[in-house]
Amino acid sequence: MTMHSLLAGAYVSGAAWTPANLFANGEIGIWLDPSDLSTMWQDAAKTTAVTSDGDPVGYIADKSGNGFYFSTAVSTVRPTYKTSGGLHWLDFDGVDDGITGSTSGNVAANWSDIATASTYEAVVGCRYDTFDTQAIGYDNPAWFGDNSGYAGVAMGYNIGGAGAKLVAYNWDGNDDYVEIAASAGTDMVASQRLDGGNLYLSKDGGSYSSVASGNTQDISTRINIPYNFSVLSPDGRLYGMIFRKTLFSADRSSAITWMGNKCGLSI
Amino acid sequence: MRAFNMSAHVYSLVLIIPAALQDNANRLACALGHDTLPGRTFSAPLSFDGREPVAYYGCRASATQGFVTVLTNAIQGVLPPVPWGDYGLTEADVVAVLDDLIVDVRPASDEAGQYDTVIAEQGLKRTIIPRPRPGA
Repeated sequence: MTMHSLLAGAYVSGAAWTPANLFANGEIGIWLDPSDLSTMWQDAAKTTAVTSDGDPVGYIADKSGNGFYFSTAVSTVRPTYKTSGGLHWLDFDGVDDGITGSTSGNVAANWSDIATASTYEAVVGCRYDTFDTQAIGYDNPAWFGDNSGYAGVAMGYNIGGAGAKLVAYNWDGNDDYVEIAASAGTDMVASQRLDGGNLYLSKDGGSYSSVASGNTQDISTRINIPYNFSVLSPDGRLYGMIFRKTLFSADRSSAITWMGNKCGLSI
Repeated sequence: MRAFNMSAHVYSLVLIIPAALQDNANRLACALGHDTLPGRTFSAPLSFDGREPVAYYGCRASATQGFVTVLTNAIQGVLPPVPWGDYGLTEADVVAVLDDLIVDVRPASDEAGQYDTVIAEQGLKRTIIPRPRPGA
C-alpha cells in the first residue's frame, strides 16, 4: 500500500466537520448559514426564495434541527443577501436592518434555561463596515442578543468609543464585557462563551481574553439579530452564526476553522 | 429587447418623515404591503443635535423598479388603488405624508454611506435614546 492510498483512505473514512456535528444529539442551539440558499426567503411568509445577490432576506431558517428561524414582515429592515468571491453573507445597513427570532422552536422554549445553566457558546463570522462611537456599552450594535434589548448575550460592541473593539457582553446583574481590538472592513471570527463563571472572547482563533461573569440575567423569549433595531443595527456582514446552550470544547477549534472558511479566512 | 426585471432590488431608498407624521407614514407602508399594522417602517430616530426630542424618523431599504414607480406616481398625485380606510388613513392623510416625505433613490451599488449623506443634507443626526437597564 502506498502512502498516497493510506492518506486517501484516511480522508475518505472521515466526514468533513460541519456545525451539524454540534447538534447531532439534539443539543439546543442555532446554526445560521447564509451560504445555503435553501434556508432563505425574501419575505416572512416564505413565498419568494432568495436566489440572487441583492435579494432582501425576510426569513432565514436555523439548520441546527431545533426548528428555529429569524424573520421580519417589515420590508425596509430586511438585510440583504450578498455574494462575491465565493463568500456569502447577510448585509446589514447600519440604519434599521434586523430580523426577529421566532418564539417557536427549541431555543425559544429553552431560552430561559440558558440563564440558569450559566453556559453558552457562540461562534460568529462577521465584518463591521463601520463601528459606532457610542459610549454606552449595552446600546451598541451587536450581532445577536435577547429580545428585551438588554443583550444578555451579545457580540460586537464598541464600548466607550475608544477605538474599534470586538466585545463579548454578558449581563449578570452588572455589565460584564471582554474587549479585543478590531478593525472596520475586516472579516473576523468571534468566539464567545460563558464558562465556569467567566466570559471568554477570542478573535480569529487567537488566545482568549476573559472576565468574571455570572449567570446571564434578564434573558427574554428569544434571540434577535441584532438584539435591537432602528438605532442599533450593525453596519456590516454576517457570514454565519453558531450558538449552543452547552459548551463545545472538543469542537471549538473545528467550529472556528469552519466559520473562518465562510469568511474567507484560513484559521 | 431584454425585459427589465421589475422584481430585482436595483435601488437603495432612503425615506425620512417628520416625527409628527410617523404613525401615518407607518400606516402608509402597511397599506402598500411593506409592513404590518401598526407598522415600524419609520423607526430610526433623527434630530438636529443627536439628542431628544426626535424631529424625524428615517429608514433605508432595497427597492424594486416597481416600488419606485409606485412611489414616484404617488408623489405626483397618482395614488394606487388601496383601501386606505382599512389602515386608518384617508387620502388626505396619505397626501400629507407624501408632501413631507424626503426621498433619496440611488442605484443599489451606491448604498454605502447613503443614509448618513442624506440625513446630513437635511441637517439631521442619528439619535440614540438611552433605555433603562434591566430591573430599573
